[in-house]
Amino acid sequence: MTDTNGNSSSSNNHHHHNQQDLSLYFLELSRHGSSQGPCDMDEDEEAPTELNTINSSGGFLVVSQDKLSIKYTSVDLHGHDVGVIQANKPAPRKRLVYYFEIYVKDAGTKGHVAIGFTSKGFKMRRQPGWEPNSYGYHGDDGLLYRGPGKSETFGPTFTSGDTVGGGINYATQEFFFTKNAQVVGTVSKDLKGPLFPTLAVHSQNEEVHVNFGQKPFAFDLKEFEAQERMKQQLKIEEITLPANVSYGIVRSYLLHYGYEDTLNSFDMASRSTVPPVYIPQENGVDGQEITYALSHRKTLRQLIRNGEIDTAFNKLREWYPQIVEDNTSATCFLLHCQKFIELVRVGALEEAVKYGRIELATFFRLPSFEALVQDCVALLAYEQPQESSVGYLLQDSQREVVADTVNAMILSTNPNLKDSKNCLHSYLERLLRQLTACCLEKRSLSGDQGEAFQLQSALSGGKNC
Amino acid sequence: MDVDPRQYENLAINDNDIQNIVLSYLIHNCYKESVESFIACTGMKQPADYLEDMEKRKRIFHFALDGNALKAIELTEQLAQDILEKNKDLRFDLLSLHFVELVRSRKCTEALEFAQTQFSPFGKEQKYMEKLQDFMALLAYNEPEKSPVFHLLSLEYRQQVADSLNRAILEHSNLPSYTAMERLIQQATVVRQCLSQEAGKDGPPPFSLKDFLKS
Repeated sequence: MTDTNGNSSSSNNHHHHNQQDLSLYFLELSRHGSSQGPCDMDEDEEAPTELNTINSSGGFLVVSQDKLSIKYTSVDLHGHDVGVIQANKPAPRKRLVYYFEIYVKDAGTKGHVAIGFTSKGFKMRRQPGWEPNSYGYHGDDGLLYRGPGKSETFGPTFTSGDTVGGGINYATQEFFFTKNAQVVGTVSKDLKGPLFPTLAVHSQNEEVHVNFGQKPFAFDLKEFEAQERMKQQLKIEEITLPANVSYGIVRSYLLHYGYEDTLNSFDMASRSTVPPVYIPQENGVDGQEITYALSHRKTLRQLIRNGEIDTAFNKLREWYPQIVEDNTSATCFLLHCQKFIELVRVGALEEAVKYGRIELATFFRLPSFEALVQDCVALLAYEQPQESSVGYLLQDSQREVVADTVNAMILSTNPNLKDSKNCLHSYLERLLRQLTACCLEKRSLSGDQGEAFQLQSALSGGKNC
Repeated sequence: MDVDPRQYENLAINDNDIQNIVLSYLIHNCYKESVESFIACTGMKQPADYLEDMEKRKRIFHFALDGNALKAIELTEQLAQDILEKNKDLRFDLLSLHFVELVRSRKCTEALEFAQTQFSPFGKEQKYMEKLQDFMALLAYNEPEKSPVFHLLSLEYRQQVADSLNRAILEHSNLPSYTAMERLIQQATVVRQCLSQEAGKDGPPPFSLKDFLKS
């Protein structure tokens, strides 16, 4: 994707190629405007809303008009005439807990009511728990059934007037059941794949209503979720941190991005603490590479943040000509775009057009650059560009991208540089990325079940969710 | 999207989040000028009211760290009457700091009197009794630095108590008592541990913060 430049010696080419890689990274970044998190699709996951009348054991029960209650219509004669029904959708998985409740309106002659979870191909004439791949909590004996021949004492029996709930705790990979708002037991969930909330009736006159969340639950689900999160949180809080590791990470962040003034305040303050803060070598944070060119980087960051692009160009030509000598490099491109944006910002539209014709036109044909050029030029079309779809270009974040690019490019000129990737991010960002990636990976390992990683609540210790 | 933790460079991270993490560290540790400078350099929005109590918190922290527990207690009570009332463990630990200082300056009689008057309100509760026994043991030695409970005289112990006090004050002012940074590192460690366990030998190796920071 990089355009070729007829640069002389091959070693120059290699170095140049590395530089192109770095600045292209920032170019990609600037095109995204706002970054979309990897977990934004979770809210779209569907949840059960009513009962599934299509595959229920039709002959043995009748479903109400609103598809939220059932009544046993037959006379139970044997074990294959159960009136069982599933929800219309499987339980959603991308959350901490899923839960639903039934209300036993009438336990009929024998109270054979059951609640549980079953998989897709469940035999719709049997109680949940009597067949493989199903779990059922039965009201007549209070047992938990989880497959042919597998049952155990679990909780109390339940009958007319009782509200019984069934839930899946994705954090602990367990089913749990409640009776009249109290948890009565949990059992390990050994089923994978979509699971349907299921209810069943099996004697004359039995009638059950179901609540998929359209009404408030008897059970305090929010409190339960909060407690589960707290348990996870406690596990996290038990981790001890090596001494002063935070200090090292913060310091390296300030160094990396060239916040020289803050760094000076920081160092001064740290020196006067008792004991003076020192980073033991084993923390591994290497300060040497990133002190390189600190005050130049700070100056350039300030210039770009203030929109003084011409001065920034001059300084770069003076201090690091190799970064800006190729006028078709991504770095120059980003700077030129920013100059264009600054002209638009102050309303100097004619000058912007002139500038664009001279400096940006060459980039129109180049695949990696043309999207940004188009967005920049589009700014001219609006009276209120900041409110348009390309308004992101006028925000501070765009200046930050350019500043970060220049910062990385200067770092890359360090002759002692070990790995050019180190120019892109400070340790802090790498740590944050690791965390996000690991959480996503962990979730995908458990079949995509469980909550998405929410950075805000993770960092605030779960208090802000 | 490939989210193998070994290939994490492609994830988008919000600059704002990063800067907030750094800021929360600076506020937690009372780096006042650095906070001001950082906010100016990055154009962040200034969080409300944090500066007010920062100076006071910083002084209290340093008094505790130096072992001047009585002063720390006095200033804490000035700042907010009920912090220590609600947090008996913390009060106990601060008093113990003063006790240690008396022992360190070889004022053993004074130390004993102090212990008898100040620690009796803690009654006969098991956990306080156990801690108290350790502290009293210091009195039994001519050279307490060489005793088995020498760690009670150490800087690390004072640091621990000063940290607890700092966290209690932050919590009282409705600020987070743990920095986002600490949470981040803890979270990353736990999740990496889980991954190593779950994925077995195909998964990423156990997480070492040190190696990660060197990488």
